[in-house]
This record gives sequence, structure tokens and C-alpha cells, in this order.
Amino acid sequence: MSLITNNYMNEISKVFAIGVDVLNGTRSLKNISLDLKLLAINGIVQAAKIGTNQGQSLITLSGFLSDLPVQIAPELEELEQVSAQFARQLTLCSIAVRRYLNYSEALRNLIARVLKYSRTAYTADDFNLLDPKVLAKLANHPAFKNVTQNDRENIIRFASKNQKVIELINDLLYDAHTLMNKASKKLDSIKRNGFIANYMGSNILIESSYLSSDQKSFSGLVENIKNIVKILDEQLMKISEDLSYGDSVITTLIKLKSK
Amino acid sequence: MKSEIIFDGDNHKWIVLGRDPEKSEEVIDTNEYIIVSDGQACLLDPGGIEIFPQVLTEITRHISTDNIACIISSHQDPDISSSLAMWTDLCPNVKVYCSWIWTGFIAHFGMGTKLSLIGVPDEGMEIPIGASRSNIYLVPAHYCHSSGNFSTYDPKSEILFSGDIGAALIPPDYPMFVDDFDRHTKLMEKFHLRWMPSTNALKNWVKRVRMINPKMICPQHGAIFRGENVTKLLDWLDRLDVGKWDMGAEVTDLNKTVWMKWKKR
Repeated sequence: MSLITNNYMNEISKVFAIGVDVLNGTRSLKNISLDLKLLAINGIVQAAKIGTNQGQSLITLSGFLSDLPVQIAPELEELEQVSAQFARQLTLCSIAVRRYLNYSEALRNLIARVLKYSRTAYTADDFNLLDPKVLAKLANHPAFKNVTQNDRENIIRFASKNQKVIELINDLLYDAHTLMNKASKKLDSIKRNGFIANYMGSNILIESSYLSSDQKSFSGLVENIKNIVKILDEQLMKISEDLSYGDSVITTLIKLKSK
Repeated sequence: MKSEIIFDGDNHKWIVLGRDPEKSEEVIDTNEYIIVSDGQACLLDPGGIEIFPQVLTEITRHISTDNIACIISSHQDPDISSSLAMWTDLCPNVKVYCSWIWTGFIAHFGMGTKLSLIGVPDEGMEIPIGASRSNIYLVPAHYCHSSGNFSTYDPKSEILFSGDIGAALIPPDYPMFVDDFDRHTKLMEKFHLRWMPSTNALKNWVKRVRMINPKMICPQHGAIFRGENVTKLLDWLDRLDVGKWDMGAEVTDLNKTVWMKWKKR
């Protein structure tokens, strides 16, 4: 396998792993969101027991917080769907790459054999078999001027097959890129709700700090709310980083084939 | 990968491919065969996906891939059929034959390509190749080893491709033809005792093949039998008692211990 093909394969494997990570991350958001809702409901119940004005404001704040998971539920659902499509697209891409690797290795072996017997300084590494333009003109290259009819036919057929597969991979990568952008936009929207959750959590913490010492049991609950909001933030950040990394890898891959 | 012409006459050739030094050790060595008749080619058990590039490249020494008209898969094993999607993708007009019982299973090797296979009926069939329509015959070899299994007989060359029957687990530099039959049986015995499930089926196959009386028997693994080694192989197979899994008392006792341990968990 040539260095450039090997590099291509490694990058595709990376992006495939990113697709799976994003999907898993998105699914975990649903659980975090459910935990947040349960804690907020618990907050409402605890605040109701306080029975003062402070209790009333805590009920209101916890109520807002418990509404957030409901508000982001459709967005999470959509993000999961987009992430699943994205992961599926990358799986198809990975299968197509596997096919490409086999065809390109056969073509490379064929070129190496043909060049070995023709008096030319060219080697198999001189041809970028990832570039559809190179593949389209391959049989007309001066290096293959004196090859047999049989070898010429085989070069044409293999090059054409490689070209088709690499174009398919590119189409799949472009589609994956579009889905990735879609997922990023959804994530931004969910992130805004994450900030609101964080803000609500902070307000609950401030409000609960005025509670008298016998009502301090509320602080444990607030701590849990803060923790879960922190986990939500971290998870959103991780997915965001994965998507950003995936974006750079896919962009590199699309460029790589035409280098 | 090496290739060797094992029959050449009257616009009709048999080529064997195998002994691939590039394949990884984990991958079992296989022989692939090509029949070329009047410019049209038929591949017999084209090999697994792991060796597809090598097989394809080696084939180009002999034919243009445009001329591959058919592929015969003797049975469903991955070392035979996992590359079929790559072949059908490369040669969209190729006809692929395999036992009817395996068509839906082999289609799982599609890798994004729709894998349409021609299901061969249990009694076998004849397949024409080349402009002069030389017929080759799919001879039933069910339960030798697969439950849907065929050997391929070519009357023009009098060669029988036997799939896993007569197969041997050989070292990398082993000759393409069997030279010392008795020594070779040591390499075949374990394979047959474990992979062949039915003595009855094997004896019936031997009976059929004795009637066909081929000059050469070509297995998918190991070395080719020709001349008197053909009869020796058939006699040897006729004496084999396969399909037994006799582990011996020691292993049975050990197994009992293991089973009990699992049961306790």
C-alpha cells in the first residue's frame, strides 16, 4: 500500500471513530437531561416543604429548570437522528474505502508489474491513485506507452473502477460533512439551554444559601443539580470538539485525494 | 502470488493461482483456478477478500478482466466467497453460481454491492463457457464438507475441481503437484477428519468421481493430484471414517470439569 493510501485509510478510520463517539455522546445527553429533570422535580418537592417566600422562589427556579429538559427533548431527538445518519454515512464510507483499498492495491500491483518490464524510470508511487483526474487519464500516461493490449485493458478497467469508488467516497464524505454541520448547529442550540440550566443552577444555589441551617438539606440537592449541569456542559463540549475535529479530518480527506 | 498453467490445449486452459508469499500468516493458503476457453474465463473459488488484490493482479497476467464470464463458488466459506462482491462490482456482467442454499447467506458479503447469485439446484447443472460453448459440470458434493457443496468437472481437460475434498494444510513452499502421496496424506488427514462431516457423503462422492474418472483432481487447499495419485486419493478417501468427534476419556473428563465450573457461575 502506498504511503498516501495508507495515510488516507488511517484518516478515514479516525473519522469513523469520531462518528461513533458523536452518536454515543448524543445518546448520553438524553440520560443527563433525564437526570436533570428528576433533580429539578426533587427541588420543587423540597422547596415546597420550606413553606416560606424563599421556598416559593426556589419552587419557581426549580420549575424553570425542570422545564429545560422538556424544551431540549425535541432538539436532542433531532441531534440523535442527525448523529445516527452521520455515523451511518461514515460506516458506508468506511466500507467503500475498504473496497477502494482492494482495488487500488490491485491497480498499484498491476502498474508495478507493467513498469518492471518496460524501460521507464517511472514507479508505481509516481501515480496518485486517490486522484480521479489521474485515474481518468492513467492508461494514456507515457509510462504505459508500450504495454500489451491485455495490460492496457486491465489498467483502463481498474483505473475506472478506482475512479468510481473514490468519487463515491467523496460524495459520502461531502454528505457526512453536511450532516456534521447540521449536528453542530443543533448542538449550539442545545448549548444555549445548557447555559440557561447553568444559570438556573447558580440562582438556586444563591437562593438556597439564605436558608436557615435546619433547611440546609436543600444544599445537597443544589450541589447535585450543579454537578449534573456541569456534566451536561462537559458532554456538550466533548461532542462539539469531536465534531470540530471530524470537520477538520473530513476537510483534509476531501483535499487529500486531489493533492 | 504464483500462477501456473496446468492444462493447455485446443484454446482451452486451466490456470492455478496460489502459494501467495504476501498473505498474512493468519490467512489460510488457498488455490484459485481459472478456466479460459476461447477467450472467456471462469473463476473457480476466487478466494477471500484478504487476498483479492493479489488474485486480481495475478489474473491480469493471463486474461483481461473484461473476459471473466462466470464465477463458481463451491460452497459458502469466507475463504471462497468473501471477495464475490468485489468481483461482481468489477465485472458487472459476470454470472456467479453457488448452491441455492447459500445465496442469501453469501449476499451478506455484499459490502454495499447487491450480490445477485445464481442458485445451483442440488442435482447440479451444466454451465457453458467460451464461444464454442464448452460445458463444465457442477457435480454434487453435499456434506463434503458444506451441506450445499459442488465440485466442478471440465470434460475438455478432464480436470475435476474438488473444493475442500483432497485439501491439505501445507507449508508455504510446498510443490503445486503431489509427488509423494503417502507423505501427503499426513497433511490431509487432520483436515478431512475435522472438516468432513459425513463418511456416507464422502463415499458417495468418491463413487461419482470414479465414474467421471478425471485425470486431475484440484483441491482448493494443498496440492494437485494427477496420474496414479488420482486413484490413490479416491481409495484413501474411500477408507476414511470422518464426522467423528472422539475426544478420548482424558479430554472428556477435562471438559466435564470445565462444564461444571461454567454451571456453577
